[in-house]
Amino acid sequence: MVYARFLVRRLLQAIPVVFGVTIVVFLLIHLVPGDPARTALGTHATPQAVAQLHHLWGLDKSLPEQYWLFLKRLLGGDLGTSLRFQQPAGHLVLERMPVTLWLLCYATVLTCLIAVPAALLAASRQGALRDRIVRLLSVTALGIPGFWLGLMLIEYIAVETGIFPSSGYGSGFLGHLESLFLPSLTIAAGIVPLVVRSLRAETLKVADADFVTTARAKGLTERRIRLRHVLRNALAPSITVLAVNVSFLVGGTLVIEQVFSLGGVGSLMLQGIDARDFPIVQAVTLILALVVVGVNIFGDLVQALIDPRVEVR
Amino acid sequence: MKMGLGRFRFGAVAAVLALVAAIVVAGCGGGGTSSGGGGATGAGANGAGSSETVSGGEGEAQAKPGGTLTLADFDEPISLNPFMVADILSSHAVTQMFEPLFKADVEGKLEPWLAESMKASPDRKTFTVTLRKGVKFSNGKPMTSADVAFSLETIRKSPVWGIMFELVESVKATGPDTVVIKTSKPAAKLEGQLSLPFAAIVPKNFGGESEEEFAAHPIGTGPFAYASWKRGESLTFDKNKYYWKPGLPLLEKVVFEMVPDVNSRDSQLRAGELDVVASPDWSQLPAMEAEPNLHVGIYKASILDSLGLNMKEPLFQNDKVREAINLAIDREGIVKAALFGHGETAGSWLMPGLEFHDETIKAPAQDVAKAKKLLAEAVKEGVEPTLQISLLKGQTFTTTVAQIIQSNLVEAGFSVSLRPLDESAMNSVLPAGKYDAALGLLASNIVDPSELASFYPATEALYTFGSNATKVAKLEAEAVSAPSEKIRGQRYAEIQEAVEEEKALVTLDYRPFVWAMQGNVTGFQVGVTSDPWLGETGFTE
Amino acid sequence: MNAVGGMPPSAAEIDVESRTPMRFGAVGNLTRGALGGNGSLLAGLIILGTLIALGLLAPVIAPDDPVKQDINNILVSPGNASHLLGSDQLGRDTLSRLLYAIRNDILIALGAIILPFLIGTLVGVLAGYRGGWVDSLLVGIVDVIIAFPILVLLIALVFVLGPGVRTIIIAVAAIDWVVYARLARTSARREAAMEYVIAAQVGGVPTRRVIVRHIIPNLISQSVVYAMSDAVLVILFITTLGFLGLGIPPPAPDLGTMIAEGQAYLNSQWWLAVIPGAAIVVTALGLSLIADGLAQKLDAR
Repeated sequence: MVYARFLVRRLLQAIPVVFGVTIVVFLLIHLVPGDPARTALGTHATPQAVAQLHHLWGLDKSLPEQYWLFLKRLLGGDLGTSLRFQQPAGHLVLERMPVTLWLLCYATVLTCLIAVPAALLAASRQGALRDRIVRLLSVTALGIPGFWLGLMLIEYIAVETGIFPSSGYGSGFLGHLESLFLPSLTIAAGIVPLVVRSLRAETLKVADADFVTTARAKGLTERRIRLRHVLRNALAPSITVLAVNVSFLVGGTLVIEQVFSLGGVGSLMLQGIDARDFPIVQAVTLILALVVVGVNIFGDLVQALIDPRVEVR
Repeated sequence: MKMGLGRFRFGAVAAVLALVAAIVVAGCGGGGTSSGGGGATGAGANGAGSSETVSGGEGEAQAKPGGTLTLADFDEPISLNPFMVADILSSHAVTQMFEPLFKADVEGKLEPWLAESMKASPDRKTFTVTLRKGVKFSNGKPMTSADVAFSLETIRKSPVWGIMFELVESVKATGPDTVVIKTSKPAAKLEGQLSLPFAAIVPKNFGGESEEEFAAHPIGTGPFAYASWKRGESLTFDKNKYYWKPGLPLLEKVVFEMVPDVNSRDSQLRAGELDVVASPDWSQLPAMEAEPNLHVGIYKASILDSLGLNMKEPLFQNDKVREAINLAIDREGIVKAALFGHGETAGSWLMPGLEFHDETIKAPAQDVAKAKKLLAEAVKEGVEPTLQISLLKGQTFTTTVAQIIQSNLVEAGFSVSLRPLDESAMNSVLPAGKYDAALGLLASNIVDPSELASFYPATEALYTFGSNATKVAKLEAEAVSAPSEKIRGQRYAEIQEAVEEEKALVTLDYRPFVWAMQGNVTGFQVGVTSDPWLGETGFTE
Repeated sequence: MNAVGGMPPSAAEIDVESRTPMRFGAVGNLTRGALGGNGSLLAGLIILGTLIALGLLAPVIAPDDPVKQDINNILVSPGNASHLLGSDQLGRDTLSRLLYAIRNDILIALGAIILPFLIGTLVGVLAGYRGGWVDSLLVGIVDVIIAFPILVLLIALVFVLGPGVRTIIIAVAAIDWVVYARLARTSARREAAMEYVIAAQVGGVPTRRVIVRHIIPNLISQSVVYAMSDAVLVILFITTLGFLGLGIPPPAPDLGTMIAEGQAYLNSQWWLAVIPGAAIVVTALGLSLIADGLAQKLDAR
């Protein structure tokens, strides 16, 4: 019950945030010089044809009026019609969503697979060589530009060895798993250091906590203590790190989709910006903002469930 | 064999050579074809109608029917409604699904396609088209004269293409296989305009659907039929079972993948994930040609790269400044560094491959000393030699060219900055005249120069706002109604001279279209107008 | 800012109430430098110092003009007498371009964090100290900005303002200040509740003086530490823009642009794209180590 109340409260809090996002995006994209009608018609178009399209698309209306129409449609569940593709923007976004969701989830899984063992290894003996190596590696990894890492993986893994495809989404579960490995790894590389840091620090902190000392006194094996108590308690903040970084992950997909030629939401967004396809840009940012807000709430909830010390307010 | 063998000039001799070359390729896997590069440059001087493509035709015993061809283009079409788009990506897709009445073959020669013949009245104002019999749409319904009349009426009124069909007054179906086209003035070469890939024949009234509905699942007479389109990912075509050319197409399926990043396209081709890629990076061509499993097809030079000078700017109103820019630019350097030797320096703005291309207009050799002198004189006359070059962002080729020009102009005494813009911004900035100088490119969808020549005045001298737009418009009107080919040729020569004289459109280079593919792809044809024709494409073995 | 865009991870982590704060060592004395003790700080200073020295001295030590083309000597391999690191597709000297690119990117990054640092810290302190509607407004703005991919916002800003150094500085400032504001707000709130501040207030010390004399000095070091790690993110952001063709316009050397230009040659002249990428990693490492080392000093206090 307390969780349900918490959920409702967080959802209500999210409404003005999402509303703010739509205003910022709406204003920005309309400030960008460039005309979607010219882009659609090409340089052959006459001024009359351009004006006709403006009228058809409602671009001849004032900005507040356009925003008002956008909101009205939004309440009816309509994200508008893409100017470039002449299809419902919401539909286009949903069509591309699987690729991006796959990337996000895959990158998260890879992050955990790399970060958890690395952090535990580092924390197993504080200050030891392995600790220092893990820490130095993660400091270094923090500064690797994602686009560059992606290029390196494509050239030196995909093309040279042919182990993984250099691009594409693949088909079927295993196909996705194979095709999206390198891009997901690239995205994960940016997050792993953050999770390692947090998890390592928390593990060390928890290892000194009273309940662990008690467990030791009870004669539980060190291994068991680590897995049962330490990891469990250290995970909660790490999950928060991950959840809070979901918008970073989402942003990461934007460039990585470009580098690996993946037709996800990120590339749709860049195409939308390029073509000044206002409804698309709005739809993508809105949906991404919802994902970000949703994952954050989810992260808080999970943390509360795992870690009884976290108060649910 | 249609690719990579480009050095042979077309003609009777070439046919023999082509066969030899095909065998060479089959024998040594194509490695041998990369010798003696720069073929495009040589063939360019061959004048209108010549093509880099070598057609093996029926000589190829090894092509077998079936298979799926995966091709990567640099973007996706804007729409599949042929009457509303003009971009090159849409034209690549439209060409597979739709066909016009006339079509240029790989040599650039026009041949009747969905038309069987066209007869002109003595005054050349009434044209009677006899349609090819037995043509069916991909839904199995036969093509009728009503379909043709509807289609031509639609392109004539299209906001995008109307300007090219201004002469046409009416199109009427007069019999089951005849359509009569009436023009307001004599039309010198209507078939030229009718060969536009966008002048596609579609079912009457879009088969009873709205234009938007039709564009979502188009139906045409081309070798391939629309199957599905995953936006931002791929566009798939199935074989048109009802295709009118017997035995064609060979392929079961064609997938156009959208891969905007040139390096991704290249690496996917090298990794064997793709069969064909559009426009590989110029720097990659030697490496690809050396690769035994890959073929590089360099097709007829069909793109003109140019630097447009905005004549609304006081700086460029000075004749000496324009002349100085013209002389300062190192065109040879551009061809060498940006095109890696593929392509040639550009003279006339109507590129080779177009009819009436004037090869006597030569690109001036770089003369920095003279450019400096001219600029110094202009500065004394009070001009401020500072300019900004607008260019499309994020494209290796364009960025390289811009940097070469910048360095050339700085050497001549200009102060130059670069302004990378995205396409939307570029499309807005140019018509508004809000730029100093801009890098642009020009390509024609037809072999007839009328498309570009009508486009020139309609865009206020390609947005250079030059004073010759009216003159060109007048000459173009005379050319399309010219009583003889000779007079038509003269008018186009005058048009080329007029643009050359003003020097507001600084021509830089002619750039060929390049496609790279796996060695087992055969029959991949690209005409002088950039669109690949996959009707005869197939795989060996 | 981050290379691959999105929310600055550090920003996201600095949460006001319940979340683990900071990515750099704020978990107390449990954290020791990757290189132990002052090692991080020292190593970071050496790396960054060397790079800055190389960058500042670029006009003196660079063998050539970084924009001078030589079309007859393009794509020369490294080890050449006239081009130690080879030449690029326009025949420009890669070593000279690299030195100037490091100089440009470090200077722009450091320049770009000053504005958000000042604005954000000031706004954050005011909001945290004063509370009330100013505080609520700040929290609202922070929530909005954090709720969607920052890179999108930044790219949109670059489109609006047109590419260039000025744009990068404005765009970074427009978004990044919220992170500093959030950081300062939390500290200011903590400090405001401290006895010495309350005593000062009761004693009639003017608000401005309390802020300037007491609160700011107490939180500034934390912001400085963050600024160092933020510089890493800004460098990654600048180079990402360059890679996307939205950075400083050519021919000015920039590491991201060099990678973008060099990527076509990865299978033949690999160094053109690999070396500038490595330069970014090393620069970022230097900054990160400094941040790490500083954070420990701060903790120790």
